[in-house]
Amino acid sequence: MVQLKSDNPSFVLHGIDNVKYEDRPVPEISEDQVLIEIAKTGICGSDVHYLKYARIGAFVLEQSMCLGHESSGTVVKLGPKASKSGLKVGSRVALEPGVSCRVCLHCKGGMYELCPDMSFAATPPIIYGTLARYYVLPADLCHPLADTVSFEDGAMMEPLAVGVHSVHTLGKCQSDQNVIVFGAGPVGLLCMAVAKALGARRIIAVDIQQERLDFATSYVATDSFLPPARGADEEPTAYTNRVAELIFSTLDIPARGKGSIDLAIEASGAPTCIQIGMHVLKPAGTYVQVGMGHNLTLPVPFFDVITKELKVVGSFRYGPGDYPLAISLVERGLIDLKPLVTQRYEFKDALEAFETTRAGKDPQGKPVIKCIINPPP
Amino acid sequence: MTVTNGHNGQQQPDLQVAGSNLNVVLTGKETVVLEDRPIPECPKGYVLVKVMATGICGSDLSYYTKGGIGTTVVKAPLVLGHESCGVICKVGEGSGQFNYCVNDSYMASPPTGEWNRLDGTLCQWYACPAVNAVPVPETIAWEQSGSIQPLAIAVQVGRRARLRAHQTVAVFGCGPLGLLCMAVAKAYGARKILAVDISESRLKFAKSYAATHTFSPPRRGQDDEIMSWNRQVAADVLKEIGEEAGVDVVIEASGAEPCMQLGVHLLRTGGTYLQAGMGAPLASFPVLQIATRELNVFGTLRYTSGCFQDAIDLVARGLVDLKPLVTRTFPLKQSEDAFKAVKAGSEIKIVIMNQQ
Repeated sequence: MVQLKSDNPSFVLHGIDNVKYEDRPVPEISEDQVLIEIAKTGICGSDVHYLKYARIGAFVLEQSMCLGHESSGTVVKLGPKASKSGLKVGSRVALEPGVSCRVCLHCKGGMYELCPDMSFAATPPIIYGTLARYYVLPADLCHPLADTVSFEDGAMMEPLAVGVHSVHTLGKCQSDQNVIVFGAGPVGLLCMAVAKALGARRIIAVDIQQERLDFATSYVATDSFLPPARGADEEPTAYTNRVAELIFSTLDIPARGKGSIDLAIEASGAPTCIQIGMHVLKPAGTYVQVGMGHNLTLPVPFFDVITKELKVVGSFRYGPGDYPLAISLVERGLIDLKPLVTQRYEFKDALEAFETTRAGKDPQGKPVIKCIINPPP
Repeated sequence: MTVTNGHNGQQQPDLQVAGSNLNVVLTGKETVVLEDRPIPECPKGYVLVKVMATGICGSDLSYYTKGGIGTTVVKAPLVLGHESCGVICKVGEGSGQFNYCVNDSYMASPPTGEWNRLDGTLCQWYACPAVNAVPVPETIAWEQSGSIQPLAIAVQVGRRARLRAHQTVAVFGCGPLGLLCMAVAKAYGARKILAVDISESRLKFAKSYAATHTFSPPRRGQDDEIMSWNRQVAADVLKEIGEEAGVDVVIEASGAEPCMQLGVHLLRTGGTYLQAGMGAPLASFPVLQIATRELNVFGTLRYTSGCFQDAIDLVARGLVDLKPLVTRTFPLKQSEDAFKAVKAGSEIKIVIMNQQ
């Protein structure tokens, strides 16, 4: 029997650049829920965005909200109906932080990520987040971690599941395919890792920062490409066509046939990348948009989409089977998450983690991929 | 928009939660009794339905005549029925989000779970989880609403078999399931629908309902080798309907082994065979054909998310007509006669009117 602590220190957002540590009540659990003691929490670009803007698109902060949604932890209490899940007190789990309604057509139809009534941690109107001591979830959304998988790895399962959803579930990446990934940030890198784990032949990382490309090739990428700057008088269309041609020539990639690009994962949200991605894909190739940029209403080269019959799909969060596959790939050693943890912080220094993630570098100049925050002591 | 006087001209039922709650309870083989039970409570998340009509299905019949179906055995007294519709007369707390209000008409289908322990809908009042109640427009008469659940099954068959426009489809078994599969194929634009059955009267009905062609297979003689006999019969009927290369889809809705064997032979290379009919658990099946002609063999069970809505939509838009299928109705008080009639097999679909 685990002795529960009576306090629940939480990192709470009140408004733009306004965070406070608060002791919130230890949540009650019922039915099929479990209480988790948080072990590690990662920070994502969306967390930073809420800190800086108190909104993302239509999701607007209206009440104070605890931040954090990428976590792992230990089960400390089970609801009366939670035991049939196989979880026990002491089970080490990765948290899937989105509770869907379970009964709408999307949930019953196998795409619960599209549920309009999704309650997602640290996303308004939900006021709960995982940057706290305790968190409550239905038992089925707590995915068990083998002993060989660390809590830090466990906290990375959330963004890794995004990678799995984009590359495997929607991108249908097959062994021996050639994959290009735009954006070598955490999501892009995890997408590359999934592609490698699934047996991709070539994984081409594209980014505008050489440092990020160097990391990508040291990590999983087989090739990297740094696009040249656009000429002062160069028309945008001419520019993206030129870059596409450069990719073909410098990396010895044909436009079609053996060696051509089967799958493009767009993880940057940058308009030029969207265009270049569609230019370099082989006929009947697949384009997956997972990156969310500043402005996502922009010109898209539909000529390529039409004449090459490209499959263009949007990727949002993760759905059935994504977490289990993510965990399996790490457990079997097909993906190594350790190189991606670049900074670690104590709970009392959580704000520094946000600032560092935003800056892209810590005060010592070391680049950021993923910051991990410890729980309250 | 005009407001009708009630259901398709029928009198609007009294919405007051009162009166008897007769339940048709199976107590043993071929023994049903009428029990007047208390009107159920309407807990949180539920709706209380005044049940108006219930279709009778082959599985209900199996429970009645054999006390079970397959490996599922009825152990205790059980209220039968699962193909029902009715009117919501009370909405439980927490059901409001679905915008149900008193006076709407709903198809109440009990949650499929452990059949042995869940009483069915052959009763007069039923408490149903709100999420299982699917809206039905007033233009669909009560008698026909009792046939919506099997149509939802046929819609699922359509999904599993990937039925679409301009296909050629053969359906084995002209019972309610086969007929509804033909209706769905027709609604989806199939260009030829071949109905197969050993009963001439059922074939005649199928032709008047949804089939474009019919076929009554001869009985295979003891000395006829199975494969060559089926090959010959298949070649003959395919020639007759002008599809020598084979049909796109075969829906097996009879569960009979000879139908399975002939069905496989009717398919074109790369065609789809769908097993919907439930017969003996083990059958002799032309597996070499599946391999060499790259056939797709699918099973289907019940329905998935959206099938009820699709089924209701097909009826509401007049693309499927349920009226000709419901050849006889019985009052609830005469349920025993209804089961005997289903057993006798001379009707197509029998619907019990629960409030009578």
